[in-house]
Amino acid sequence: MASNSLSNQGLEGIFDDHCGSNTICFAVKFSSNRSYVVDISAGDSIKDLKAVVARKAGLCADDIHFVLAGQRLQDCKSLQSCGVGSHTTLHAFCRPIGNVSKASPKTEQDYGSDVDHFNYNGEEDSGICKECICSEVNFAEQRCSGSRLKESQDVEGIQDINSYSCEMSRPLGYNRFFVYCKLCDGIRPAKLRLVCKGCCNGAFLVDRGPSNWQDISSTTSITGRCTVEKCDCKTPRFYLRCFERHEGDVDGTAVALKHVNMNRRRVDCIACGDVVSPVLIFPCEVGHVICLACFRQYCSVSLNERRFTEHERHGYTLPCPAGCPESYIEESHHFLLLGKENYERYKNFGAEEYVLQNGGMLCPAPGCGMGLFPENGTRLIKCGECQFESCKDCKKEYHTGSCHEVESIILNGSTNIGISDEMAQRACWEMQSMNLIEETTKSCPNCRSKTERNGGCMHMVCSRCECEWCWICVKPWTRDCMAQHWFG
Amino acid sequence: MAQKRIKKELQDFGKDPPTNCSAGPVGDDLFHWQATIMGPTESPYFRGVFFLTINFPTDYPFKPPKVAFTTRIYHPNINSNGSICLDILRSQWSPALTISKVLLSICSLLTDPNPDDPLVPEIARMYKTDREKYYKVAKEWTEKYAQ
Repeated sequence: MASNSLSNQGLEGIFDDHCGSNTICFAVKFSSNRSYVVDISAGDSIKDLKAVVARKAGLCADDIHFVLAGQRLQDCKSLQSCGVGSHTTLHAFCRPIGNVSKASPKTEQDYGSDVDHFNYNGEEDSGICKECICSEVNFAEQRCSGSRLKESQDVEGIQDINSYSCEMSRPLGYNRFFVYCKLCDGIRPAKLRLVCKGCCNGAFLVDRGPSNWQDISSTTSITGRCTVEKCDCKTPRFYLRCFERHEGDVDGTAVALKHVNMNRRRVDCIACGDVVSPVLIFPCEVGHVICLACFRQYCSVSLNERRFTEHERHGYTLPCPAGCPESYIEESHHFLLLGKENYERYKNFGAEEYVLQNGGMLCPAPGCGMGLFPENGTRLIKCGECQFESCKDCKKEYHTGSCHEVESIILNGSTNIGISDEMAQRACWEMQSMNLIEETTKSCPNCRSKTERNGGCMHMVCSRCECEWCWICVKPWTRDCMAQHWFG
Repeated sequence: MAQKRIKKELQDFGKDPPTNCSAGPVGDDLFHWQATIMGPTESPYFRGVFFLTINFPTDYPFKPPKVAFTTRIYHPNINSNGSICLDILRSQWSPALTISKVLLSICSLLTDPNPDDPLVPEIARMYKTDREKYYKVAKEWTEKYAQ
């Protein structure tokens, strides 16, 4: 955290020294992959920018068109009002002005030519507002207007926002999108960008702005046109990228966290009661809010107790801690917040749960646990990974005879088969641990998972198959168990 | 995390204590509280003062607090160890619940026992078959242990 904020100060410093207070420097990229770094005043117009780029590129200024977030920028607008700041990459294409209108289904006027075109309807939960689309870097800058301005001021007043900003390494203003950045290895504010789905060109013009998460998904209904002459692709590909500057190819390094948002309404965390920002908002009807630190703990406690659920649409996931219906986290990448080690455990548990729920079993060999799908009609299961042969019914090493007989032979250790000393010693070692397991655990009557009881009542709920069983009877829990020996 | 939340609950409890209940930490240990419940008027526990211990787990509020009576009480859902059979203290616990809400639920459990989910089957049976006798014994116990 400390190093992040340090490096950030360093970055800001460099840019300030280099550019001066009103000057911004950013890259203009043509679809031919030529790019130019431009130093220009933030108050200058798009027309001024065209003149500068034309001079650098040796083109006619009137033929150059700039595109930001799918929208063409109008000549009379200032760079600042379009949301262009330092670090912005502005996409450009070069075409005589007559051809643009001809090739386009809409006139320049229809496009509205800048981000005002994005249909933000004032309902924050319904979608994605224009501020987000154009919020490239200067998060602290309040470029929103009207009621939005008030809200972004509110954000700054939120307690703890400053401490969180340290972690974020840059001051936060209004930001709607968050990602888990694999390069930063943490949660970061994000910016929404789009390219042509066909040729990946950034200078792609969209017919309308996105207004919800579906619009920016891979099955978006939004259409547009690519400015590359030979490309006739009509579909954009939206993506979120970390707001930090990362060198080189950043594609696929940031995953969207759709439930994470700024806490503009200053709602208390459901667990610790603090008002912090950003927060995670569960998709339940009332939208319960949890701070990210509590979310981490909630996930970690639930993971240790295997309380995650395999959901048919959302995978291995958790509901809102208040138990609201239809409140499952819809995107498994949110669990990256658990940290690397626990996320690996999460993935393993998820895979195991999937295997078990779909009629499979896990290889019982110590340290293996490979998912196996036994064929019908056979009790012998051979693991393709470790070659261990096990019995489907008792989950022990494969045997002839009934499972019960074998269990008693193993426990008594009374075999008359002649075996070498070395093997006997090894068997003895395992015998001790097996005996200990046998003494301290009982098997779930449904899935045979070895279960240890560390207190509480006799009513057991299997953390693997959710079977409710009685510790004394080792059978499914009944009202008789409740009446006769609930507490032993 | 747990500490912050418990502190907040303590503050809120002080500001707006539920009727007939009080609670607070024992000594300096925030994770160990003592609570009292005054027997509700509409019950055989009226005029009794019942003491409870509350132990917060380190991963509170993601795990429920351990709440138990230290004063003996004659009730179908509370056994001789003081253990309370209340769904919100086990499977139905939610981090959105607080000690204040738990104590209120216990108060309403005193007024309305749940004989269909009993912890002490004999008391439950008596509650169902001979309500008058249950009332009488419960009242005697209240006088004997809680006054």
